[in-house]
Amino acid sequence: MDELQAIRNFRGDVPAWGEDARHAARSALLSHIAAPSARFRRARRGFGHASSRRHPRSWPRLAVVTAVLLLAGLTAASALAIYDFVVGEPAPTPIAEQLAEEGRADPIIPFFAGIPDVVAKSAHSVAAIKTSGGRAILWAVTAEPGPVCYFVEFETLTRRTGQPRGEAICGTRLSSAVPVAYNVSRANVGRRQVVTVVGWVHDNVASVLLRAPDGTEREVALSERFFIAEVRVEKAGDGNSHTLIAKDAAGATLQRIELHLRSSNLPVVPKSMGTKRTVIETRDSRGRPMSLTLVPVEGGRTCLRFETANGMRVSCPPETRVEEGIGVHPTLLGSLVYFSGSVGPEVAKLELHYEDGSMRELPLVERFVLYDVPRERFAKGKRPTLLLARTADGAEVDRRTIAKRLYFGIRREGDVSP
Amino acid sequence: MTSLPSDADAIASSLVDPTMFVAVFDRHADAINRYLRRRVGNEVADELTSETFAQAFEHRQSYDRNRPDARPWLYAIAHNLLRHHYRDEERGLRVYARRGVDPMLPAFDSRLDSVGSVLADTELADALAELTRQERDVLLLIAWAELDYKEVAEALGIPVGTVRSRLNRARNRARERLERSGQYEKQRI
Repeated sequence: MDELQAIRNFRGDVPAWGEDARHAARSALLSHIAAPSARFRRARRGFGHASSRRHPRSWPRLAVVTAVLLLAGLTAASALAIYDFVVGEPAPTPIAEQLAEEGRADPIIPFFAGIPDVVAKSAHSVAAIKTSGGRAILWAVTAEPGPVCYFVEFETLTRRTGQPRGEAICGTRLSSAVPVAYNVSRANVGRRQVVTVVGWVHDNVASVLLRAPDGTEREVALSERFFIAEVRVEKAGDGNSHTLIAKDAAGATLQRIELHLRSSNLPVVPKSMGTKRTVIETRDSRGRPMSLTLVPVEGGRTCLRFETANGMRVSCPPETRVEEGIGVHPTLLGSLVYFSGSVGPEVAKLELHYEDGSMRELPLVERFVLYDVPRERFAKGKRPTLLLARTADGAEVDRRTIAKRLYFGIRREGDVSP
Repeated sequence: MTSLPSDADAIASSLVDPTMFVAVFDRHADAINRYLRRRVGNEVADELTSETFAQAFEHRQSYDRNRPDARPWLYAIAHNLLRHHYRDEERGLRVYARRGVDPMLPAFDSRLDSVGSVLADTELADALAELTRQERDVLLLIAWAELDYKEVAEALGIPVGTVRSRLNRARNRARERLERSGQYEKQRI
């Protein structure tokens, strides 16, 4: 043995590092890669773009099983792989705050009344997928008791704006009778519109399949009972249907959800043309700015852009203002509940009546309305219950009941819930 | 059959998808850690391993994609971090030389089962402690990291000729010590 061999043997019996040490180092690297570093340091909260395809109603932000068939023409699934390394990462503060705030907003919905706030500390990453718009991370809160909440972050948007952009969504816990809750959402990432289906499943679900219109199936990975997948939207019209299939461990189908809407129904934000004009500049009940801007777009139409501290919503109706009566609707955006829309030319006064018998006249600007409901009005017995329109001489011309089960889609004739 | 991407490919891909960089860790972390453990002990080595890959990730844009094997680059980063621990390393080697027990690796004193081995190792420890840091780096990158001359030159940023000369000096020093302990001659017979 020469001296080099002797040196090779020197301390040669040092054992390899243990699994724990290796795992710790690997996790440290993964944190370093996925971690909220400088990009999350800006404290200002922000939400992504959320446009509406329905006028004047806005998209409800609550994800429940009954309020999901919003998008059409969903065809090929892609990029279903889950990155396991991000699982368990604590959510960046801005995202945790948004999740917590969304959870706190839920008592306005009777289903969640009495359920404690979401525990922001428990917000963590559940999964991440590659999408056509870059990596999307699914952050979630599953702490019991409380609703299940999640937030989909597109890293590309975060990098571009310095803050996580997206929206926190909460929904109910599931039962064996209704084993899947999901929501289809869109994000404009650069010039791409990324459509994702996100959801969670009950314990009795062992697998979730996504079946494309051509019959091909892909299993969507489950992580902490959540799933997320991008679905590619084709321009082709009718006949495009995408199916979510939940199966139990034995392979029996527990739930089948058809997404058979037409691609032409997909909300597309038109290209802005001409000069924007802000019609209403006001503040929400917490003193934060909110505004309504008219944005001329291609095709000679005008879109309404509502900007709030909790995000932006764009509505592009066929007509900018309703022709008559009340075209005002409540919207839940984060913890904000605000009324927006327009009224007919005959309406001079718009009254918002509350359960306790009190009334507030909503300001009208060029027949438009933008009004945030104060938080104290979220409590049972104090909630908004009726919109009433009057002419200049006080004659009632229209009235709309505000649904008791706001945001649940259970509406009666005349209700104005989203 | 699919072939694994080279380190250069993985690092290039990680510029688009940062997660691809994990492949570099998975491929080389064990070797880097073992090398560092032999030099500075478990605790420091684990920290340095972590830091090595974090820094590598941060600087991946500067990686020369013409070099398919990332080991020299990773060892260069590790050595840069190791500089702050040279004194500890030398102190440990000297203690080992005096007492016959490796203070860096207290858990491994079962090696005392062979007196001959201890004699040789204490001499080697002393020899390594006496080497200049530059010589020690070259010697241990060859002996422990199993890099070739060119790779060592890359890792340390020196010409191959310098690698050869430093290695030669280091080997001579080690040989002298082994001869002094009698182990070298004994084993050569």
